[in-house]
Amino acid sequence: MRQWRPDTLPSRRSGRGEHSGRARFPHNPPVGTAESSNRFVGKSIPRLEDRRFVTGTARYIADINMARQGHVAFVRSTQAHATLTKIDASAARSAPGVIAVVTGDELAASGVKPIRTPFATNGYIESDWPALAQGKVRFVGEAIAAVVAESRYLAEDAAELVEVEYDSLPAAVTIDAAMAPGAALVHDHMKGNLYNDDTRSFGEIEVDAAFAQAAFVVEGTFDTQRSAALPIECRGSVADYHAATGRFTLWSSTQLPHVVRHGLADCLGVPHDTVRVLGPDLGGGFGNKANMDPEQVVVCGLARMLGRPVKWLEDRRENLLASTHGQEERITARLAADAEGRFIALETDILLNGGAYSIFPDTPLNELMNCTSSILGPYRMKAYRYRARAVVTTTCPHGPVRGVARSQANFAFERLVETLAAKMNLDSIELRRRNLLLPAEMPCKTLTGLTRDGGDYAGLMDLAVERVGWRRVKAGQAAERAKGRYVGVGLASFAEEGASGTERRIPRQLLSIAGYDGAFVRMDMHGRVVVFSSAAGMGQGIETSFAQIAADELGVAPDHVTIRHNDTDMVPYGMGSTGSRSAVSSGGAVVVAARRVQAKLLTLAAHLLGVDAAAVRLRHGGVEVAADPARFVSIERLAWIAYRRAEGNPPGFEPGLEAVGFYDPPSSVSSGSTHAVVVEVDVETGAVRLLAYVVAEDAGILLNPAIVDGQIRGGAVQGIGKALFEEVRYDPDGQMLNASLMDFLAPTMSEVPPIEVVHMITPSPLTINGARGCGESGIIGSSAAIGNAIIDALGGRGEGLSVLPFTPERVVGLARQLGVRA
Amino acid sequence: MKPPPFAYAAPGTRAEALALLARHGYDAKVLAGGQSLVPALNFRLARPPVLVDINGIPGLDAIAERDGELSFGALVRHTDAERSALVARRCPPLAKAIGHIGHRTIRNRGTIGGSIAHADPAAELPLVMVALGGRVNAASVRGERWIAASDFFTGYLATALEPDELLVEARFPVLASGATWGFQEYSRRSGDFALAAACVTLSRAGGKVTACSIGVAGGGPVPVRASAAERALIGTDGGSGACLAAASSAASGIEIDGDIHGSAAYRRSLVETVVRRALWTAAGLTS
Repeated sequence: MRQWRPDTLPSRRSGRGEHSGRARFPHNPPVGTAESSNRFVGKSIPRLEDRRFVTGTARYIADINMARQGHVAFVRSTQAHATLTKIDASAARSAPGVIAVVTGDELAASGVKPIRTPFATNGYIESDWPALAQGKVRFVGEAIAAVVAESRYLAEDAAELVEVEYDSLPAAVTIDAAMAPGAALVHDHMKGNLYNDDTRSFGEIEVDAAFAQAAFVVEGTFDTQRSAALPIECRGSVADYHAATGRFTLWSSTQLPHVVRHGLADCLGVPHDTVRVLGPDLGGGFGNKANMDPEQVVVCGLARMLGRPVKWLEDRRENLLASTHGQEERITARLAADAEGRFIALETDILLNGGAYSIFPDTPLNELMNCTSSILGPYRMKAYRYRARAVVTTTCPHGPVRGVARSQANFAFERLVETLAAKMNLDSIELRRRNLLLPAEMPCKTLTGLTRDGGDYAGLMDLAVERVGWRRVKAGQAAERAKGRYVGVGLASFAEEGASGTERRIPRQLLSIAGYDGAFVRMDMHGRVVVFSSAAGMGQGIETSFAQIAADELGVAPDHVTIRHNDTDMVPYGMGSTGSRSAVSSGGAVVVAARRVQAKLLTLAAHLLGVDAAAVRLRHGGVEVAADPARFVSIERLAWIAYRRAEGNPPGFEPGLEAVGFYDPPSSVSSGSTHAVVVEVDVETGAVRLLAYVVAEDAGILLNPAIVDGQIRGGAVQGIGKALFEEVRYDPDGQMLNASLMDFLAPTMSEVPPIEVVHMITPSPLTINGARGCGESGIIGSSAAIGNAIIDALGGRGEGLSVLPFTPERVVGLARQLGVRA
Repeated sequence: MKPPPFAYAAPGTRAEALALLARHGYDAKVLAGGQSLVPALNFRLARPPVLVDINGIPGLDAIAERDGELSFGALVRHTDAERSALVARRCPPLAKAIGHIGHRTIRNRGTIGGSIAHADPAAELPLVMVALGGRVNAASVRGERWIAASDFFTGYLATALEPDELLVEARFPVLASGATWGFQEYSRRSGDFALAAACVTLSRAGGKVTACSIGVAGGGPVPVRASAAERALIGTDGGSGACLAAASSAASGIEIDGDIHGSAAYRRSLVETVVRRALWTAAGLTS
């Protein structure tokens, strides 16, 4: 049940404002944003959690140690596709320090079931994923056996002694290879190598008719590379099983503790309430920890089999080889426009390399659904049809990576926009302007049901264009070219839907997850506050931004608020932190719960002050009589009285100051954004240097602008990686070629320009705190904006660069194609 | 990513180190800065039964000028050489090249001797040593010998060092009086190994090139001198056209392998580009 409807919201000035994100503390609050009661929300207070991070005293999964713990090393498949004919662990079992070696059959015999991800629609076919392979392996890196030893060193030594015999089967690494006639079937129970094949049409007019009457049609096929989420801290788990009570405790570096708990209980065959999942500090997630992993299942199973705690810390090689990959898509799209360039219809055919197994809980279909729906962007469209298929291949399973298909969809669409502009010989900024949704048209739903809830999309584009110096660059382009410098500008506009609520989750039939979040707020007898949140802190600053929310609702200082998270025994049920949801959804739950405590404070204060409850109001530090602020009672006194009844409570007043609250956000809300970049291309080496990078963004109310800016900048850095550097590479036999940070190229600070973030602030009319999700916005526009800028630098228009990343070799190829030579 | 078991020895003197290498031969691996060896151990790509850690041996960390050469003890850290006024003054291409080695933390720990003995085909120091005509001193219980750069690098990660030999000193000729130089490297990211790199020197008299050296790395298994290009350049005016021709000759004349970071054809074009840019720099032309 939704707790707060839009019409119950306090009134807000719906003004527009902006602030430059480049300022450091103290941060000026954005103009025209904060309602008067927001003393802390909207301000860039320094992050409360940073003391432990910058002093090296944060506690990560590696710091969790149990007495008698065994350390796990996995024996991982060296073949992409093979029948397991023999696993001989006898030598390993007698190696020094070895506690046990467990194979897939032995783990299954202990009562562990394969991971199965239900998903009720779209003709989806599940894959069973045994936590340790049974009978067959389907990707290089798949766990075959677990070695438990007194140290990780000894475990790795023994793992080398496990003899695995394979009977090789043909690999199917790419979308093309897996879909080719006669390709080896990866899962025998499927008819082909497809998790699904889904076609849907939307719109007021028929798609084919729309194309038939279009003045312009452009099309293209866009290949986006296989990427890795690459958290600095790899995954890891410590499992403990208490035989007398049958309870499991799993410390794990995870973004979604409650969801993992569900999945684990099912795989372990135990009641859900016997599993506790808790996480220490996380060194980043980016989607890589938004899954229940086979390794989590294995360590719990091992702890139960062995009667002692078991620890597994993923190393970088495992993380790159065998955690999850994402976003390898081929998007073929056709766009129809009328004579003025107004978009009429879009048709897409989207193929996703879904990997060898269906990930829990998202399945590969979540990526597809984001791609099919978000590709409509911030624009009007009359008709739309898609076909979406997730292909089964003998590669590392597909999982969410920050952005989840939105940057891929944006890349395809924004490249098509440029192609259309070239075909019409029209400025692409003007073309976008003719199609961007206007503020007066929102809130509205896109053809695919995403809510666009306001903001000035064209204004954001103009702001980005102005800040990046677009016209200056264009004016000087010819002169630079005459000097042998190839400079160009590019942009990409998009809307990031985030914080999807149950209304949007239900049609997706992601049966394992709903769409709401919870918070439990406790003010103690000294007026100090603890908030137990269902969000997962992974470095994104929720211990500060949520403290700001609670501080405003309860009249206390943020540093008197402690945020607790990542513990299923302590925090209310919720979805954890994925999908750009925490500020809106978990933050909303903090509002709901804190307002319940606030109501008790007001009731108590009115009683003490001898006035009606309606006559008092909260202010920082206490409660006052609105008409006579000199009559005031402090939070500390109220808190003391609430617990100790020192001076008498009102009749019927329930002791204590605690409340739980849940918030189910609207179906979805959308941050608007434009990325604009200036690049210089070395036409001989193909090197691309970013000279300027601007993100204009409207994420509604910014709980903490500095934190939002950090999120956007971090996302843009990952986006730069996707545009120019990162790509997981396999050979045709399914061997990964770059499973180290020497060869998997993530951008470093040397490759990243200063990233300017500018905000427009239009509070969402649909969310309880006016915020929109923007945790992924930074990554979404990068590929398209950079690609468009490279093409512009080389004097091209429209077509070119349809394959990511834009490696130097591909850039040189485009330069030669366009006849550019130094 | 934990190393396989190994025995560890930390000799306190050069004699002890040489004795250990003589005793263990192929079973021993020398640990200096560890910037290449330790990752190789952790990936279990290198599995030496014995590590001989030479960091405790005194007297291997000196930088000095001797007889027209700069002498580097095997344990000189890259950062120390990079920041040495002597190196900057007497062998500027070397100072410039060292700035391209990895990142600061790698240069703080990594050693001149280690980089040369590791012989990565795309590494900077082997390139400069080949280009300038340096040499190394290899010591063993059998005695010492000098090995010229042209004989030292024998293949991919392979050198002329015998298993009982320790590289104790590296020498780079000082830049000839009046000579100019250029160093160019192209890598995907700052600090990565080069996709292509070139180190060149030019001497001119009377408007003609009288001597030159063109060293190229990143194309094949070892850094090489582009001898044909050098011969073609000598006697020319060393102008833009001559540099272009030399670069083209250098690129066409060497062995090039493709890898995941670039095809052979692309890398060949990069070689041409970095050689030309290095020559133009040396010739005082703008690229």
